[in-house]
Amino acid sequence: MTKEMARALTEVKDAFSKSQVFRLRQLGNKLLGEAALRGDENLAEVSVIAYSLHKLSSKEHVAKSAGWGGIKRNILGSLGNAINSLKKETAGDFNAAMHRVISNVSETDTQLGYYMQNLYDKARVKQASRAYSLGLSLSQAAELTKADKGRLLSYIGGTKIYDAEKGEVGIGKRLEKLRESLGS
Amino acid sequence: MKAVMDSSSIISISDTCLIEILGKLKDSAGIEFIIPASVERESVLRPLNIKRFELKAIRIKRAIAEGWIEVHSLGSEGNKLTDEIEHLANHSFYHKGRPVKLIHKGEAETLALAKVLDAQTLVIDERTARALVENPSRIKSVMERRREMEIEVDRKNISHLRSLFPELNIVRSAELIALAYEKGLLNGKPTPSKNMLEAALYAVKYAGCAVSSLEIEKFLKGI
Repeated sequence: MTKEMARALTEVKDAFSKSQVFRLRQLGNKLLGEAALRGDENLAEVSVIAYSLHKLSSKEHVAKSAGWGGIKRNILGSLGNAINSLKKETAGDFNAAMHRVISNVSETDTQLGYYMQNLYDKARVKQASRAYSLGLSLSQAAELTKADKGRLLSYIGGTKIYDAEKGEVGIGKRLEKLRESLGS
Repeated sequence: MKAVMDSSSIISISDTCLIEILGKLKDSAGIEFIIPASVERESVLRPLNIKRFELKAIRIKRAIAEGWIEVHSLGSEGNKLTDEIEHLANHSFYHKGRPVKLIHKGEAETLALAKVLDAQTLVIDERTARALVENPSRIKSVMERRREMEIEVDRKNISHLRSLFPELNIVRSAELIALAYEKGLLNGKPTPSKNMLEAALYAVKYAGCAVSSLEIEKFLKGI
């Protein structure tokens, strides 16, 4: 498990260092899928990090800003520390390093993000919605990614998840059963 | 008639400012809407302290204070049943021999409360916990289609889980709105327009109720 986490973070770090925006997004999706299968909250966090780095890197006004180089070095440093602590199997250091990565992303959001308020929270909701579309329940998807359930439900309502799913029992039939239960 | 509601249905009906129909349905159709204490904690007590979610929490708090929604604790029997439901649900679908954790304790608690209270109806807007009781093969097909991988099913656990709810009727907030429309309770008008019904159904859909546009259109055509 530790090896898999280290490998996942190394891939994210490599893609971010090379500014491979599309690969970061693909990694985010792939890791979320694995996290949902295993109920692995740490892996889900890495998927949220990958997705939020994809969002940050894909904004021209962020990637071309004067401060971006320094911010990127900080994020890469924190990712490197997280990977090293996994290799040394020091859980406390790993948690601290992951917390620093999240802080780095949130600080960037505050400093440079006129389009990106709460970018990290939005990334959590986005990944939770993906977990839900893969079959997890609403609460389980929210728990896995630490997303707010109300925001998640509202986000899902704006997607086409339900329109794509066939074979649902319709309103008329459910209403009929409800009337029967009421004896009317 | 007792109807236990989960957090998804409470959230979507409150988000769309339609929570008053619960009180009207209670008075006119005799439906007792009930939530587990954990849903109250999650939907009222915690968000009351967060500015962003405070208004939503106040709406639900008012519904509880007005008696439109009752709050019930599970008790020891319910807690035991919650554990059993959670275990069965989360050991029903497997990938490469490993169980997939599908539902959260909160959803198991809602199902357990419905069983303990012998409720005839469960109101739930999210689709996975609902499908577990109603049609588990849908979960397998969603998981396999979306993940492009094979999912194994423990039919014994599924059938045990379903056997706990042989008569449970499951509805969404969409059906509560449709019932309110039929009874002339939408928007306080004796004969609300079909447009009002359409708007309310789409409002809960966009608030997250698991209902498709096709279902809504089909239903509206039949009226």
